[in-house]
Amino acid sequence: MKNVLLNWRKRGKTGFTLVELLVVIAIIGILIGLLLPAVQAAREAARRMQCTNNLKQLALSVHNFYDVNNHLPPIAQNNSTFSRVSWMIMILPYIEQSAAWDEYAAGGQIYLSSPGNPQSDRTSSTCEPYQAAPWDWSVSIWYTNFSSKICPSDPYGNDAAAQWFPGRTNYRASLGDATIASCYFNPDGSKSRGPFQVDNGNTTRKLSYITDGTSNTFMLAEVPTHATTSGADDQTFNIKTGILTGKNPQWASTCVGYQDPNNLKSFISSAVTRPWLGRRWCDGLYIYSSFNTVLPPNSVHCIYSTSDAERSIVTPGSYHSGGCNVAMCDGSVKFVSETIDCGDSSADNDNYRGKSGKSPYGVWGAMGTAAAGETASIN
Amino acid sequence: MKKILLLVSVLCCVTVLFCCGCGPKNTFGVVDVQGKITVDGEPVEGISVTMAPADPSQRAAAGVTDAEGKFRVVTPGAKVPGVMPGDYSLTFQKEIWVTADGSPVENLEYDPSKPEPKMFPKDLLPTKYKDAKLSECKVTVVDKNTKIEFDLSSKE
Repeated sequence: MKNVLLNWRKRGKTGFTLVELLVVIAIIGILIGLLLPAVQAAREAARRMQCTNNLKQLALSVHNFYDVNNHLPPIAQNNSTFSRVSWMIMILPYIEQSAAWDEYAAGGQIYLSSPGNPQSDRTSSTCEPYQAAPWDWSVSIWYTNFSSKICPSDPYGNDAAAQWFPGRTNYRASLGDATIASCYFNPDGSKSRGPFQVDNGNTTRKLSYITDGTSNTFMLAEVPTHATTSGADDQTFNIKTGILTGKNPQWASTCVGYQDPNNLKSFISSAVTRPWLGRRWCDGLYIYSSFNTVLPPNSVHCIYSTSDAERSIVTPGSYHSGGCNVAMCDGSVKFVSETIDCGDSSADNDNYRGKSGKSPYGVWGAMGTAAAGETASIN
Repeated sequence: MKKILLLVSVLCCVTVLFCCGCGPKNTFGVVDVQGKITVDGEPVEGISVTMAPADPSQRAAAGVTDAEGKFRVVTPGAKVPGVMPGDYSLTFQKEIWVTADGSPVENLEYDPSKPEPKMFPKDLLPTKYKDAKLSECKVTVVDKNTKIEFDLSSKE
């Protein structure tokens, strides 16, 4: 055994002994073992790049929308022509989805009566869609899927749509650091502190509103999606994909207390959670179409009640390691670390929403607000 | 042969180091404190405890009591449970589910195929425990041996 190599040379014999083969195989194995994580990391880097690109395309299409309409798209339309549909529907013509837009704008299956009916014709409150609703599963446009609204790193982003979960998306519009209720409970819709808000006729914002600077203000960000399959593992108890229900987002840190100290990726077992993230890209309710910069990236989401129109905290997050991608109002895309300064999350949000004071939520909150007099920036 | 064995073992060690060495942990220097909250002397499950920092540049922390009234806290963004050392004011909430007319909800089962009844949280504790600025419950966290123990009153 000792002189295997020596003997081989002496005898001048071709061929390998078993030991030599095993050693070579072991070395190759180790090398592959070293290489595999690197390959996986390279694949994730490529997916992250594509995710960044998607976000960039959406940000540019928001700007294209702006060039044509001279205002930013509303998070939800709340006028007589379009009811409660999200900003993403509004930018369809600017992201090469003209076919879906044309079908949508023409009415057809969406409008049971003609578009443009006066508001008084509606069945209930001013926010109640009186025609095909964003949760009406019979409307085929709601099922439209195009790749730029899904982050390829999200393992559930491309889940085949189950019956009651049409339309997946990872990307959302900014409400700044305000936690506000959607139109049902918030008829004026003007309390957003980000660049976007609900359109009640003439309340959409222009870029001139963003006095903190467009390069210092978030426009869009990514948020993980919940798998479409009902009851799939315990995703609603995963803080990334589930929404803690019944916690008042007025005090954001209260929601964080429901993380299990023994497993911070999960909620405690007595928490009440809901699987609403990542569905209904067409719906203008905040829980489906927007995010807040209250809790740091990859932290918890929570909503006040079991009604999806209530005030909520939707926290940006991703499956990229260590943070998430965010598009700024100037169209650039940046990666935000989950260690970003997020200030005092026990601050009373009622003191800030709809008002002009500086954000209590550190750099993260300052980057979310559009006109709070901060010039904080990242990178 | 010995050299080959040596080479193989060195490679193994490098691999192990490679796999274990990475994975940054954001701890923000938190310490895993424990606490106990009672109401009129009795432990109550499900009290939401929030620790609001006196220094607003520090992170807040929060936790929920178990059946024995005990709790541990979590800091937003931290990868380990605990709270940063410093001064805190505590606020408390004990919420139950009620329907829109105020009656308590017993069954919270979720059926995604049906529209959900609207339910809201209702705080059972006096409102004085809600506001960190008015809070008389203060604690200075030094290390993980700091005990946080308070007896709340169910009366206003």
